[in-house]
Amino acid sequence: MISIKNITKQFGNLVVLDNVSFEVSNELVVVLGPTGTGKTVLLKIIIGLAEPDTGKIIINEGETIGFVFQHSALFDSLNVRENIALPLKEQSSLTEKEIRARVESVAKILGLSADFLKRNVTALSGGERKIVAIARAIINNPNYILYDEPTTGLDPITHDRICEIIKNLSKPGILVTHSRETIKRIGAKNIFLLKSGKLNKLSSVDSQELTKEHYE
Amino acid sequence: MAQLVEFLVFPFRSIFSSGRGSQTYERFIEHAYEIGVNSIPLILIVGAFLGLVTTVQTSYQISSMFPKYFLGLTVGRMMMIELGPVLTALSITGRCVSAFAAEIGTMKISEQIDALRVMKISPENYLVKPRILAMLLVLPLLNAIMITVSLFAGAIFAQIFFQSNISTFFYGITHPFFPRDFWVSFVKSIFFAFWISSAGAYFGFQVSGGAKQVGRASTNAVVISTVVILILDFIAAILFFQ
Repeated sequence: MISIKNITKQFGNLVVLDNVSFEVSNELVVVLGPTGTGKTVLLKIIIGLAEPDTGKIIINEGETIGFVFQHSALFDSLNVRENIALPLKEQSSLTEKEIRARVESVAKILGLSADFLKRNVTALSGGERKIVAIARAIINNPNYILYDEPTTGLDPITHDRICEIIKNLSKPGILVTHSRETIKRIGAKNIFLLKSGKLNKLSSVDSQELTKEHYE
Repeated sequence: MAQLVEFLVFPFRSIFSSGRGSQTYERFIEHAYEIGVNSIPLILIVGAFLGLVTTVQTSYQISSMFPKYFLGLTVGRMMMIELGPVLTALSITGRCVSAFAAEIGTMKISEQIDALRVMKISPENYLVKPRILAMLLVLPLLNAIMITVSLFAGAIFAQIFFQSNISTFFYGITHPFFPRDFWVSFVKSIFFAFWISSAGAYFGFQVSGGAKQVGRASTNAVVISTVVILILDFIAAILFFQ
């Protein structure tokens, strides 16, 4: 379980996270909010890339987290296969053959062809890069996955494909987005609204709290 | 002051960062190839012209006062002790150190360094250590190439234009020959290699923002490396030749 307890984060006078608390256990939690409200900051605090001003993150011992970056953060000098294999190659004791088998198994789950694995990531579209980033995040079979705006800037078809992948993976974790459409496609039930630093649970993505001016 | 301390500590922290040796070795080979093999044309050109200019200038200064073998003696000393290591380091600073800063800086702003941290991979071990180790190996070798090429260029030029045959020129280089001149040249190269590769990586890690900051990091890396080379050169002169 990931427990987010009383997290506060301030940049100058701007309070982006104000006493934020929630827990993630066996389902995908969605944090919805307009651009610039601190959703990415929240994820970065959870993963350890940023420090909160107050509060703490508790992750059960032995549990691991995968992270899908907003802009994919792939390594341009490596091809698709090498990008996906990187965490295993650097951190596991698996042999080359075992790593290869694991990459192929993940590629199969995500519908990536053998030819695609050979491509250089600089030649990929935004959507393809996101899929590779998801593949890299799940290659270690983490307990949770954090998705930072996984569908931002994608065409409708690719958007739907990414949502379908996330839905089919059925991995618990946190997904932050500013898109109601993404939440509907994924079918998430556990939704929070981050607004003015405060996190409020929504009854559904069609909640009256989500006004047109914020999310359309 | 804090930044200076951080800069001085950075390479040592990187060298002693933990990670899988086999992976560091792979990237070490990649960087050694990039810095070494791909820099050879530049080193050949710089070395050849350096040898030619040094021979012309030296001949102009001493030709009427000293025997011809003094040309080889003076050019050889200058190249080995001073110009070889310094010009090699400056050439590699322009070609590779700026690239280190730009590449790592771009990785920083595109969150690739954050991605390494998330994957529990030390960025210092993955990005910095192989570059420093590769530079430590390659810069002294490039220095040797630079010195050799410049001396041959100088010797050939002296034979054609100053009627000083090649054997006389090389006689000057080797009489007298002080081993200290030879090894100090390589010791200087090793120190230059350590600090210029560190500067490139360090300024890359300092980038935050966008393309403008990457450009600035690249410039800072070159400027600081140049200054460091000259300071270390001066320290070496005091320590070994005073």
